[in-house]
Amino acid sequence: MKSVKLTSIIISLGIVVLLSGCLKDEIVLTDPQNFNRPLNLAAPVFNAHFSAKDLLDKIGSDSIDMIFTDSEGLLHAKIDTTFSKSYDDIIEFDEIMFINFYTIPLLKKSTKAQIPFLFRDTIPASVKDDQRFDSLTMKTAQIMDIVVTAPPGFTGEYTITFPEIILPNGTVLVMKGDIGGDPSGTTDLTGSTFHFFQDTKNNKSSFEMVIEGYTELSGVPGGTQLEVSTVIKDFRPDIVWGYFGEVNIIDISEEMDFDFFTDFNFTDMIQFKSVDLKLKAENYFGIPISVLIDSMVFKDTVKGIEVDIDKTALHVNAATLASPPISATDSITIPIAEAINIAPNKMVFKILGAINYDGNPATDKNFLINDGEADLNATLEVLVPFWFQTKNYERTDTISFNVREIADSTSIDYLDELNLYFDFDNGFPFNIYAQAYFADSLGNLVDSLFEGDQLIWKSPTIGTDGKAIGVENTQVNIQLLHDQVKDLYDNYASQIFIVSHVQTGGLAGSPDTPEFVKLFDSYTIDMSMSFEVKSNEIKY
Amino acid sequence: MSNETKNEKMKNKYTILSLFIVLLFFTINVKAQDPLSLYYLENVPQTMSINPAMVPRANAFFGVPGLSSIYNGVTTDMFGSDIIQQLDNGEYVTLTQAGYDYGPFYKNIGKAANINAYHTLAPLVFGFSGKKGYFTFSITEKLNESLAIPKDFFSILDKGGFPDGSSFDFSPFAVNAQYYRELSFGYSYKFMDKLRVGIHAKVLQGLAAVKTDFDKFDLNTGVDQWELDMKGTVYMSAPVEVISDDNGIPDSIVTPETDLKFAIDKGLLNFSNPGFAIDFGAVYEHNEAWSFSASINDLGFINWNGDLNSFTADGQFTFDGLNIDASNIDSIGNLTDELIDSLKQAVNLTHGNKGFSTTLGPKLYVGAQYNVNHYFSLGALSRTVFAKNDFRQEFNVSANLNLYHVLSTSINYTFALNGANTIGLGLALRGGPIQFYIAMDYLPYSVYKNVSIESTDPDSGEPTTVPFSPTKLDNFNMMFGLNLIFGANGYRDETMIDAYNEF
Repeated sequence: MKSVKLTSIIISLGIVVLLSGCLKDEIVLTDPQNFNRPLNLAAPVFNAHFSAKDLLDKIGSDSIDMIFTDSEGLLHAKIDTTFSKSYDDIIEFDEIMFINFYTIPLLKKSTKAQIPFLFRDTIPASVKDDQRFDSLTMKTAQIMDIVVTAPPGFTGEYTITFPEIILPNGTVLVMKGDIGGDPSGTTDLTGSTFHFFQDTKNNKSSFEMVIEGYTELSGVPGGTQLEVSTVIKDFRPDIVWGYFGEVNIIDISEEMDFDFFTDFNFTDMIQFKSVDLKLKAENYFGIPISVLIDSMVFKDTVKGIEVDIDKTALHVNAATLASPPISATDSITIPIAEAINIAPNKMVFKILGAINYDGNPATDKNFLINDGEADLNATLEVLVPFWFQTKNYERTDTISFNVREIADSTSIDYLDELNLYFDFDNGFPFNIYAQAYFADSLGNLVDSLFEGDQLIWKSPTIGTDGKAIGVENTQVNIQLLHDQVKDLYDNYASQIFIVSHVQTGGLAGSPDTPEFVKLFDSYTIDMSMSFEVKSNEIKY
Repeated sequence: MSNETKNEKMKNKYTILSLFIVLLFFTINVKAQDPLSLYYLENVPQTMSINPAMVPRANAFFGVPGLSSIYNGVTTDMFGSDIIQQLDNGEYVTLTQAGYDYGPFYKNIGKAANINAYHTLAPLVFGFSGKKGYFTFSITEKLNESLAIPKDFFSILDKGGFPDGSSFDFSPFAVNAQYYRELSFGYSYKFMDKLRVGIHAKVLQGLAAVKTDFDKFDLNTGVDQWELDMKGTVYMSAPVEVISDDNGIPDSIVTPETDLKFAIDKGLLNFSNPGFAIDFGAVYEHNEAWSFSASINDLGFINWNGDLNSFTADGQFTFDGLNIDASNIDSIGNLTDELIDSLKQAVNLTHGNKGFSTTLGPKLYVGAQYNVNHYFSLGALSRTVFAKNDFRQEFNVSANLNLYHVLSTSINYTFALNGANTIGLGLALRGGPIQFYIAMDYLPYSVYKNVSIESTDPDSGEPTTVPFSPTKLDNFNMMFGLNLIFGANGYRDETMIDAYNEF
């Protein structure tokens, strides 16, 4: 009985325990997948090292090919345009095709007797009247074809002599054949030399053809006309001597976009110390050449400012014949800093060029080599050494910075402060002051980071040669307190405009006396960044 | 073999780093524990697995192959405290949310939060009463996994990241996982009127294992630099291939495609990882009302010698920012890979083939039972689970009803130090020779009617609702099976108590 009672008590207790197991009310968890606890983070972010050329690459990547370093390490920008002329732009030869008929004299006494004949003719080779060819040497695979056709009833022999054509073996070109036999004859002219005479009748450089031989009747003659055709297809000389006239071979008018200032976001606030326009020509022609900058204007089409450059001519002597020919090179340099410092966006110019600009046909002797390589190359280049000054060059960069993507509103409520620590070792010869503006997606300003412009990069000492000496350290600590961050959050700040002002020379407060400084490729900037987010008690 | 071909044959690829991270943050202490609710179900043969001296009240038994002992369990000390807390303003919050108090959580987990998972399946179990005792034999497949997550991992969430001047100690991180086959030979003998003793001699066949051993895993964070100091080894015995990067540093592991031959070679006939364990137990029947029992189980080890891979890290890494210059400014994303490569080099991550051994985790059971009558008893039980430099203690009280012919049941309550306090249930039903049993230690004691998870994101759709969610997610285990019981009225040489006799 006692045991049954104990059992009942235990079972009853068990039931009570089970029933007291709670069935609790429904609960709601909102956004448990989102971490919204107070944030406390501190970490280094990056250490960056860039050279001068690296930075130019970043700010003007579209035009970085313009940048080069001279032997002293000074960085330059080079904007150039090149034009060239070749053999075909000066002289031309047509295919030589000469056909003529000659009357065969007939003897009345004996129809079986040999009848001798002798004909002379002149074959023109030049095309232009004002060009005189004295001689030329033929290229390979140049073939002369002749066809001598007599009327039916004739037999005999002929000999055609070209006294001005000297074969490579030093003999005059002579072609022989039988009349009434195969009418065609062929001769390879490779390496042959033509010595022209000036035909006063048509003012063409020409060579003579002498046809001689005999005929005899073999039946009733079908006529008396002996037809002779002479053909040199694809007449291609190797070297031509003569006087090729005073001819304009260059006439270029261009309007070029001058992208340098646009690509590098430079403005007229950057003043360059020395900028040169250089015109240079390399002449492989055996002809003196002149290249003339007939006109050149640098324009800022936005502001409507123009600067003209004076007319300037470049004379280049003829090349020297050698194998390969020795070119003649010359150049002229024109200072154009005044034109460049208006920050032009267009360059308009007209370039003319002529051969034998002051020639004497009687005494001057030109040559041209038709090798496909030797020609005239002229370059017009604007050379901008990075030797400049600015007292307030300004640029604006935009960075995406959406506060709402970075932190939850609850995390912001807990936030005490956000600290960003920057450390700069600046080897560049200029100061940079910056201000950062927070803005919403429409560009409406929400807040600024500093009370005024903040010195970010401090210039090291600048030598008298405009070169920076050593590096200068700057530490910039940025602190955003709770109310400031919450204000950014509440106003949907999503971007930062970083407005930078660059000053060369002098320290802060003396921007009116900028110094000219040089940008060497040895300059470097070392930057490091770290951050700290501190949260504590909730802030409301 | 070309790389392509090799890659085709490899089913999965995991980076060594991800392995370290997984092992770092998801470690286990593999000590399988049978349900305490099973202890006083006197006519269920599987009680022998807890105390080898205990024998079923049957002349013989035979477990239905594959169905006689199916056990799945998860235990953890992570959620002994409420993972959902109510703030003063009535709002409910959890670990990731502002206002959640980590204090009770830290108190609960100590140096590391542990999660243990057990899976057991017995293809063959039988036993019978002989002239001089009770003999048993079993073949059991066991998969145990344990993960220890360092407290400082949760400190990251608690503090909201890595504050300046903070130190984190991740060295408690540990992973132990082992899959092995146990061949158990048991013998229980009553050599005095009141004392019965038993022993299990267990031959172990290791199949796969992972084990970590970290002496040092410190992270110091600051504005100027972060420092990582790491010394530890991850041991593996598993059929995987390690791929190294160009610097000879292990980079990833790949697992081969499996087929029948693979399963036979690496499963059934894999004898390269031998082990041995032993269980001792005793039951002392002081008088008709009181009996006392004790056992110590799983005193043993497995030596892992086959398919060995070890990854050792021993070094320091200092991070003071990503190094950016003109060569990489346009490929910042690749800097992460470079950083990882630097990290691997700095901590001297190396690959080797070190052998290792694992223990099974000894357990000590001490129990007392008061028989109120022949069919109802009260029990008290202590279980101590020993781990490396640690132990886990649980106390259990139970009310046990044993109507031997058809029904045995045990309702019990477990109190765990720094752990779960829960109600358990054991139940065995017999009809003819067929016996079904089930034992669970961690019945949900307190539940929310609904836990509704909502999102303020308008695109996230309907809220997710989990009905009858436990207020605490401490542990879960369940063991069940089918046995064939022969001679349920008594042993060969000892008639059973009739439950309805006068007590």
